Amino acid sequence: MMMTHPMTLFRFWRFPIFAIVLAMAAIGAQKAEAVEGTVTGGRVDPLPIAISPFISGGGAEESGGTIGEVITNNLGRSGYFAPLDPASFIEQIADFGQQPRFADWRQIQAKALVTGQVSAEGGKIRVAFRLWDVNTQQQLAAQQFTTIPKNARRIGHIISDIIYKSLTGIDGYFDTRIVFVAEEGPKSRRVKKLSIMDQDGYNIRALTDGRDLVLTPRFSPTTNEITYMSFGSDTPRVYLMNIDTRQREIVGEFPNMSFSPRFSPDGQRVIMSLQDGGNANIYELDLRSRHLRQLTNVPAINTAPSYSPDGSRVAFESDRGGTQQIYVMNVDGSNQNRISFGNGRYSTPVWSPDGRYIAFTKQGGGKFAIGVMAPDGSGERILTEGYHNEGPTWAPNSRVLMFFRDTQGESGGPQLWSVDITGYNEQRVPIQGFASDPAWSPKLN
Amino acid sequence: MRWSLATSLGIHAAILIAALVVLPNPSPHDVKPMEAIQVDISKIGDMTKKMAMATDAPEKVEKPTSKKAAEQKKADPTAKIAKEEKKAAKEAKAPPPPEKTPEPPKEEKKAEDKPLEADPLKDLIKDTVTDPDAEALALKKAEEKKKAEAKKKADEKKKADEKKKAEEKKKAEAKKLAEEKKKADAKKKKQQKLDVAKLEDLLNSDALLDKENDEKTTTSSEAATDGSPTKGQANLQGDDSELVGTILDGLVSRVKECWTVPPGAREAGIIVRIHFVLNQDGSLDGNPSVENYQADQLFDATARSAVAALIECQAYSFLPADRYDLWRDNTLDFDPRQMFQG
Repeated sequence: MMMTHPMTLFRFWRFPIFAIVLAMAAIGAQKAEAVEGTVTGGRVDPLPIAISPFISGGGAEESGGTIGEVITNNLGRSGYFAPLDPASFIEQIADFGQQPRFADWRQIQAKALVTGQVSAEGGKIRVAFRLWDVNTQQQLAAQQFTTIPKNARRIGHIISDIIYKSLTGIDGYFDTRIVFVAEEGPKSRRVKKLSIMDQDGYNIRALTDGRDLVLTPRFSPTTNEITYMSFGSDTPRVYLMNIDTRQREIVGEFPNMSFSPRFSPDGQRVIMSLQDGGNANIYELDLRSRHLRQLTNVPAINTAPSYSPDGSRVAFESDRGGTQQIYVMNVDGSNQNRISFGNGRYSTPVWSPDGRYIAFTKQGGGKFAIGVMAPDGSGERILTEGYHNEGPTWAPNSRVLMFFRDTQGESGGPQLWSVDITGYNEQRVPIQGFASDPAWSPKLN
Repeated sequence: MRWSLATSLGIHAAILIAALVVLPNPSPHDVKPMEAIQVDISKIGDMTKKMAMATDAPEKVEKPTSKKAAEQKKADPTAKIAKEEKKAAKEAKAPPPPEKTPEPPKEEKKAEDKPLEADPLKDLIKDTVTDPDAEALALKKAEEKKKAEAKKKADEKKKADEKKKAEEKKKAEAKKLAEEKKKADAKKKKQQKLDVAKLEDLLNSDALLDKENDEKTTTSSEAATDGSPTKGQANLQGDDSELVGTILDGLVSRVKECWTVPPGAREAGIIVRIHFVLNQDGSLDGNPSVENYQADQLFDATARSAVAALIECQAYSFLPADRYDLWRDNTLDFDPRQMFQG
């Protein structure tokens, strides 16, 4: 009687099977209850942002207005933001300490909101701002500054950088300067002055008086020094200038022309071309030891050298193959390889601060284009082209390039333009007169 | 003596021979009618199904069952084990209690970090100070968030319980109806305990076999001819996966409209995984949570833009209300890599 009947065993086998089937069904049902998927695209439109007028009083009204205007212009010009018209604002922010009524801002399609206030305190201004995400109702940034009213624009740039970084995750580039060659007068008798301005075209100051022809200014990493070429005496030479003191000095004593200089990433060396008869080769000068090192030795014109951001390599242009092309070499001059192979002539290579790209000027088919390629020459992309575009320079965040664009005709002349790394958002730098050879400074802070 | 022995042997032999010749005849004829019984059983199945399909299927009387089941339970020592197994199965089946790891640390940290991080005028303008209000606001926000999350948890738990109950009920009903008639009493609420003895009976009974057949054939043409889905048996794997696909397409295309992709994210190879729970009216239940947080500014901006898009796009009222179970709990990967235009 106690013996297990074969059928009973079978029944016990069937129970676990039944249980397993039930469990599997349960798992299946549970799986079906969760939606999982991928959003592979979205909008690339500029982000609608509301910049509420900064609350100001007690003599700080002008500063408040300036700061709001600078922020609005900066963000709008970047192409990543669309500042909303203040006339559309439903809520007028009256208390900086209060949370905004987010529903009101959502209603006008704002995705981000900037509020701020400026107050005068004993000859200084106190500026405070907040950045809000309208949808998450989260405060993304808040900061306050105390400074003299003269620095209002600068504060506007700094706040713009904070907003830009908070919303894009990328470093801003608004608190920067541009050194360039300002050109005045008719084409036949053009006066060229070395000049400096804020990146938005304000605060232009001349650094030279225009008696000497100046070309290719470049910033040092410390931002208070520049190097450039000038026809000061008989022979064109490379100079260094301290922007604050305006003191200048010739870089090295060379028998022939020196030109196309650029600082090394550590600011300790200057790389440039030295003329040698009908040829030119690239040399590196240590500014402290004054030691000169030759990097190229080819019977051709080798010029426009630009360091990689880590200082280990140098991109330059050379016509050693018959036409101007871009080459890359190690910083000791070894391993010189051509990287440009498209149709046309390539010149003025500039390594991006993040090391990912080399920007260049490309001439072909009667046009001049500005483009970028990877340091190995792959992935060439033309960002803009036209009658005459030349001399690209990188914003410190590697997202924007500035260059000069010449226009035809007797009354035509060069102007400064910027373009996004994607090739969109071409913007003219709003300055009066002609300008060429821009060089973007590193961030000031 | 010898005579009687011989006679006895002879008679016995005659009887044996007669038995061998006569007895085998009747048995083969009984088999065929059995087949007719099988047909009959399948009709019981049909009835079961019809009852299951009835929207107002009445609750069965439970009393007789419970007595019987109680007796069986006493008699069977494996009942306890079975109960535990069932419990485990139920736990596995219950929707994961939404104890979503709240990743507010990220946001709280952000609110605190920003003023510290953004201090660019330190060198240039000596009077730079951080905004004291920022911290107060951040704290206030954090508190609010905490409260909201606590509420969310409670709600989710409540919902999970309700759902669990509903599922149990649904299942009990299905089984109950399947056994039907004589054996139907053996099931019902006592199903949670899964009496093994009863199960054995059921497994060996034609009724259960018939129920299994019914479950299988619910998706077959037989069910289709009935024209209406079976009550409590609508979770057909194939149909659900199609519906889930449609729901996903709807969600994705809606969210795309609201997602402004930060510029750097397009070429940086960032993917943000966000989990979010929806209420029955299509609104968000609490805040979406980032599942793969990385300490990186670009990731942070991308994640925030994705969360903002989900918030902006609500309510997702276009989703099928009768299949709330399918879109209550969602996870989306925001992947802007294919968007780089260059």
